[in-house]
Amino acid sequence: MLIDEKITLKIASLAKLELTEQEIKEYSKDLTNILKWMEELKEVDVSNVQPVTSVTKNELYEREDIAYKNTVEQEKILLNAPEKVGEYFTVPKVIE
Amino acid sequence: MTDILKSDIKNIIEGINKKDYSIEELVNHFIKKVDSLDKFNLVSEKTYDEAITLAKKADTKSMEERRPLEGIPIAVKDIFCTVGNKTSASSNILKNFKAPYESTVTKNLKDAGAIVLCKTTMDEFAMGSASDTCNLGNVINPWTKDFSNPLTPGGSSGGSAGIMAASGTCFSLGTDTGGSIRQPASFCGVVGIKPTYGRCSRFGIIAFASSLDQAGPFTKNVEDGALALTHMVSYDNKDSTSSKEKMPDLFKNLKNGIKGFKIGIPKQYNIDGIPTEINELWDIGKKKLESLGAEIIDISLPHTKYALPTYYIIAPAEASANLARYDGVKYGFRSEQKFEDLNEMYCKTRGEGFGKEVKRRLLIGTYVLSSGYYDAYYLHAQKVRRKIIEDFNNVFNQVDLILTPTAPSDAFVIGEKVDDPISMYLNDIFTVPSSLAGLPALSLPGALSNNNRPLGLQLIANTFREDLLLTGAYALEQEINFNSEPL
Repeated sequence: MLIDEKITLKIASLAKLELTEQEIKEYSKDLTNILKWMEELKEVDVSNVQPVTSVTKNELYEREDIAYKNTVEQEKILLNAPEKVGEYFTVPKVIE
Repeated sequence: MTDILKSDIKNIIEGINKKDYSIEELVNHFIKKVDSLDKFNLVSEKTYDEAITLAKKADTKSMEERRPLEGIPIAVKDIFCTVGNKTSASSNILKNFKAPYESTVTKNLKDAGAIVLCKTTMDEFAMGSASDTCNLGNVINPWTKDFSNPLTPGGSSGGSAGIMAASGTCFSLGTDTGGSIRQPASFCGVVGIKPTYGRCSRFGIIAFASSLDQAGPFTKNVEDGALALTHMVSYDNKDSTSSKEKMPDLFKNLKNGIKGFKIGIPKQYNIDGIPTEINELWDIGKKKLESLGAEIIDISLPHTKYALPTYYIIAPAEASANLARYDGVKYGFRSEQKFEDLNEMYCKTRGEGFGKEVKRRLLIGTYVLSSGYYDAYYLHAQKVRRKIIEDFNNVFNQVDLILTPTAPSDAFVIGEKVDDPISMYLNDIFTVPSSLAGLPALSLPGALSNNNRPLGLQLIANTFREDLLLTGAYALEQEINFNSEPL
């Protein structure tokens, strides 16, 4: 098996996903099969080939260093916060 | 007014102008239709109150004040941020999210006068090919006859494709990353267009795979598609990949025929194990194009078979980066379990908030980007993507359009492919290569399968040649004259 449960747990922790025992089993199997299926890409000779990061020919442009007007109000953004105090997002305490 | 539901957008506008009905009457008529479709689970939220207010306001406008899509009812895939209602991308992690800003595409359409009747259900974060990963339950294809074995509308834009199949709105919006407009259009018997990457701004569209995501319309026919698309596209400085390339006038040569067009038939799309009816459909398409005066040319796209595995490295890799933002801090769902620390809050929130397929893809994406595997998988796939693009560049020196089937089957029964992710991924076998190359492509209804379900034909054009794409599709549509309906 390409991906055992230990590797799945490791990837899940990198992806910040808590998985159940059952999920770890299933995903180990799925990932093994999917990665095996991807093996055929190794047949392709890509020496001297530049990787594609985007299909657009757009050059990234520089914009003037000026502040944009606030188009979205802070209150509206805070409305979606699962927890907040005043105008701050809050999270569990991280420092004792 | 029953016929209105089936009318072209052009005729509906004419009816408004001739005062055959008011915009309010029109909107109410479509609302009634949308309400009759509840059993298909196509809609995530109805926005009728706002729609009726806008309709009343539109009715007070003089002819001169009317905008090009004034009063035209539309449905919007729930991946477009729209102000005033929820935008959830069919995910529990965004269950109660209310976007504080409007996507550029929906803003363009609203500015043109279109009225949103509802948001539509989809695969969670657009990851899927059957609209069976939606947090609100399976989406059902209106072509379903036997409700004990409901058919999938395809995915990920299943709700938007389904609502068009049932004539619930004048047009609807989808997004296409690897086939999420074209494959459901094929399964639902409607027209679905994915424009060139960069045509539609991605601003305000919840990101899945940023180098691939594109918005596009579902319509009853090609001419409506040209109209809808015209009002969706724009250059937008809020999206660095948005194109400044001017959109050609899609109507100028729309009905001028395809005499002398060169149409490529890629031999690599003839795949073992595909049902014969799919190849028969492809043959019908070829013959019809030939009878219209087009020249059929056999072409080769040698890297076709590598497109799917390439896509299933690149798209999950980009998704794993894009979906890192769902952390339970700024918006969306936060787990209600107790946590020891911040890390545990992230892990529990994401573990509970994301569905099965999304988590699967996040794991794939994280793996192929992780140290030690990046070069072997992600970087390698980006290089194979170059080979796939070069294949297309070579053939577009010889041909104007490429014709292929849209999907390897007709709509299947929901649940048939859930146990095997790879067999689900194979749904996108004909749509993924052009997505990787950023090319404009569309699906139009070609025929009915032996099971009396729609089958789509796909046309692909060179970058920024939506004009050729739609002219070809219009000609083929007239010749095919597909007029079957689900209900």
